[in-house]
Amino acid sequence: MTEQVPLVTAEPSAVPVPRLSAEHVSVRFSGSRKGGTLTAVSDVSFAVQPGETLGLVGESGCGKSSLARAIMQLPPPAIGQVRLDGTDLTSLSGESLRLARSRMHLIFQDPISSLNPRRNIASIVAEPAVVWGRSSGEQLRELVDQNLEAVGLDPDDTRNRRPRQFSGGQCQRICIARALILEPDLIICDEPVSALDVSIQAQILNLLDRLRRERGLTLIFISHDLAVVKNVSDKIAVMYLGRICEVADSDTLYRRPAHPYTRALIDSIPGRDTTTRNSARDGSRRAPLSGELPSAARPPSGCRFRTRCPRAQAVCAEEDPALLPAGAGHTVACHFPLLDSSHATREEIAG
Amino acid sequence: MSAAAGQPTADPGIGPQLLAVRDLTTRFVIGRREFAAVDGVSFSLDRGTSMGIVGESGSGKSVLARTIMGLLPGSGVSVSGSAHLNGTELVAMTGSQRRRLWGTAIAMVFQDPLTSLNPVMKIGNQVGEAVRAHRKRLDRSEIGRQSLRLLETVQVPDPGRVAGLYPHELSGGMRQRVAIAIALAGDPDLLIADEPTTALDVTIQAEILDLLEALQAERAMSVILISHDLAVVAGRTDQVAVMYAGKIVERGPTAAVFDDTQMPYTQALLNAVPKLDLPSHTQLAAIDGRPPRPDSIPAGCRFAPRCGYAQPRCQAEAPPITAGKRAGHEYSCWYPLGSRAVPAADPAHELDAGSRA
Repeated sequence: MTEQVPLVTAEPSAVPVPRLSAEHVSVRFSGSRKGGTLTAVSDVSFAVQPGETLGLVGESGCGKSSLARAIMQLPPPAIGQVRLDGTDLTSLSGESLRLARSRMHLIFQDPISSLNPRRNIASIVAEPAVVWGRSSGEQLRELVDQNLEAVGLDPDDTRNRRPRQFSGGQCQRICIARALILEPDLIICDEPVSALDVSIQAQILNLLDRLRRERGLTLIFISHDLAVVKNVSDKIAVMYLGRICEVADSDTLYRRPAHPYTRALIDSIPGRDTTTRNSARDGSRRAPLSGELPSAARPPSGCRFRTRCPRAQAVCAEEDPALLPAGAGHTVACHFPLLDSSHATREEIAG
Repeated sequence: MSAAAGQPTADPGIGPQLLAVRDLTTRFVIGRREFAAVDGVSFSLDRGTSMGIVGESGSGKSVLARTIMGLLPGSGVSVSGSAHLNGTELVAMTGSQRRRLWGTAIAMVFQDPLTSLNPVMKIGNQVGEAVRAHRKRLDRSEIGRQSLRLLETVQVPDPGRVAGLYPHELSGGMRQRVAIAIALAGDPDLLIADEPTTALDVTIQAEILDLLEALQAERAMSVILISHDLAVVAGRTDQVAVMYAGKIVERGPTAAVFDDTQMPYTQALLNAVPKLDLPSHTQLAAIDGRPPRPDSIPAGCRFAPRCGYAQPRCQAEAPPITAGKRAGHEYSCWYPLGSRAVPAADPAHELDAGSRA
């Protein structure tokens, strides 16, 4: 890894420069009907250190994919900065932006539709290197083979075949091989296992985690499934309707969730109570959340989660809660967080 | 027999069993080759009870559902064995006999509610169409009332407003509720839900599963819930059947299958799910490789090539169906795990290299 000296950074502190940081990022889409705008991501900040995995969790429509695209500058966010090793990407353009983008790669949910069906696997995996003129001829072939092997595919058996001859899990491996070929520093995985069977899911999760370890990759891992995110992440940010509502290291988030929404996400994970499976019969189990995510075009006033929150009070409709510390490396945006002293209350609510 | 299907289902002579499937086999013929996507499956389902069918993609669970439902393509398929619903044999039925059962005796909900709904028809009319199909002599206002009642049954908020919307204006969870409402229009005895929540968020998934469970209890309906995720089925159904490569490899009351797992494949499926209480970056117990293609089924136990406990005998001889300790529990394995908790599959078993084709 090339050591980058933070030449121009805003903060003069001795804190290491994060691999990637987002500062007050907002993403907007101009509305189609009444000319209004939809704020898909609003005022989101976070930082990921080199070699770390940041998990982003939330339901469909919470803005997690829009945030991923904003990090890639596809397009740049409406407000805020995205810094890669201290360099503000939003201020870059042209060749310098292209160069910065080559250090990041996105992996998508549907591996089959993200591969060109008419090209063979070798040319798909080689393409980023060809575009950048990094290598050619025999050297390129070797590079492709190395990367196919790294993701657990047999190059001799893979090279000349086409995407439709592979299963979903294998196609996702091919996507990962393509993402690795430029030796990026950062890979953003947008729901990479949501379309896969549980057994294959585990293979891909193990692969991503192994590659992170071996190559010192930084990962941003996006999913709606907290159990999946928990397994691969060091730190997790929970998003709801365009905002981050809680950030903590993954074990803290699971053991002591402070935001009622995080609690609900944990309780929604199926099969957590296989041992008390009869609870359903006597009606003691209820879906932890009712209702749907409100429209991002018309978010509720105050706290955005209040319409589905079991703890909501009058103040929640009036004041938007700020993201405040709730412990070491743990922040939460809630007027009535589930902190240690209030565990009893939580039980009452759950019961 | 088909005359008996028209009789009220409360006939005391029928008994508690709703569906009895015996040695059901579905073969697809492609060119000169023939393979069994469902291979000698037997099970029974009592009235008002539920069963989960779990397996990976390609295990034959959807083909099994479609065979029972009668939704297979007209040519290139041969079905043998028997499936009795309410005492009526389904396998030999003609298309028009089948159609009479659809909706009233048996109904189905699919994975993707967007493709199972008509995109250019308002929700109210789609539900109304199903209501009218089952009760011909209703006037327009009565159909409207019944449609709204069905939308209420599936807990659609503000049904009056939703009835006037098109499918694309609804969220995935709402669309699935509408699809369930349509399936319920004929008051079926059996509802087959094929991966009903796979396309949905976890929070919405929990709501839809709770809804299906509540409907089953309220209407004394039988439900078959199909999923690739054992965790989805866990604790939601009375019985569980685990399918692998066209066969049921373990089946029984849910408690027996989960507490007293015998088949290593069932165990492997359970272990593959990420656990919240383990520290981050814990290696998951992935199942090496993938299920065999239906045209190249291994001899002996079909799971043996991926099994961490496989012995020479497993490759040579197919294991018979063996009865477990608890009533109704059965499995197909030469070396069952026994009643003691077995440690997770050994780490060497985790192979990313396993997908080498």
